[in-house]
Amino acid sequence: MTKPTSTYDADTALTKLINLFGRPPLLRNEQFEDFKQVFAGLYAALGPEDFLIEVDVYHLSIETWRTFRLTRYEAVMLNKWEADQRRTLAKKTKNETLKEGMKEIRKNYPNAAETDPQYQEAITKLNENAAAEYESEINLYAIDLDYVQAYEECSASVEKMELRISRAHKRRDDILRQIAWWRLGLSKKLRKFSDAIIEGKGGSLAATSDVVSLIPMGELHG
Amino acid sequence: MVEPDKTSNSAADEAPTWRRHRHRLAPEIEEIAVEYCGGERDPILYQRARAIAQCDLMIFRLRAQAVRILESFTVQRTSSGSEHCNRFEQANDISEQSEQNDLDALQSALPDLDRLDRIEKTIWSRRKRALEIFLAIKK
Repeated sequence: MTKPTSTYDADTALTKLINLFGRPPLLRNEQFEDFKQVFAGLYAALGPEDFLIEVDVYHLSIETWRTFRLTRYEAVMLNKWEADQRRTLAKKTKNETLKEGMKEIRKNYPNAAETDPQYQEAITKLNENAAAEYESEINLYAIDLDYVQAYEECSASVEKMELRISRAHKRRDDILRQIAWWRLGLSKKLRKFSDAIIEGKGGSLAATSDVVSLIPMGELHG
Repeated sequence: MVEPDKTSNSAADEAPTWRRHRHRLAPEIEEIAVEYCGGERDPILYQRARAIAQCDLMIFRLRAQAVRILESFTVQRTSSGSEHCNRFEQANDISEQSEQNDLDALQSALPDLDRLDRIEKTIWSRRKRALEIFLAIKK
């Protein structure tokens, strides 16, 4: 079982950031609780040591959220194009079935009037068959090839979306680089602090005989 | 005789006050800048922190604006009587249709969002420059 992420610190930080900067930009169909989870995960991963990095984690969560939103839209777009193509193909198949069926009926009943019950029954059966064929075509599982065709059709729209996803990725990478750069910049200062502590401790620590027992004279010379 | 003098004096007094108000920073910026400085009193550091805070707030405002634009287009798409609404009613899977509406809204809002994106990019660059100086001072 994975250890649950501690959200206490992340929650406190998020509340503080929301008070200062405002709520994250979520659409109406997006849940704040989900965003909170994303923030908590990134907060735990990056472990911000000061306010500046906390703000960067907030920016990072928003950009991550935006990336996923756009990726989701891209998938919706491909699904839509695939469904449209499928519908067009199903309609075409249905029309062809009706056309061929009508030819067959006219051949079978050359002199029948439109009110002829046998002729009407044949027409009804044909319509039912065509509708069933349309339904089965629509309900078929999509395969990769269907999506490849859809991708070809909507490549211009996908390109636009990809551009936006790339921009969001770039902003995300910039923030991560900024965090790394900030930590590297401050490491010299932090090292000074640690050096001062180490030196201070080293100076005051004395090896006294009551702490470390002295080696007897005989043992020292062998 | 006293009245006109009094009026002119108050007008002269009001002008610099008005200017001061005009250039006053939002209290949030001051608050964020103080947080960035973390107790340090260096005026140049504080000034840079204010610049970063200002950029941060602008970025957040722009993001909020982008969401507002998207939402307004989504509302237009789902308004009653529209073609999309009819399709929405016909659809079997409501959640998929809702995402479809969001996508349509996004596509309609793209020119506005692009404009906001460009502004955001400029502000990110400004923030980065301010942050470089801020870090140089803090080191």
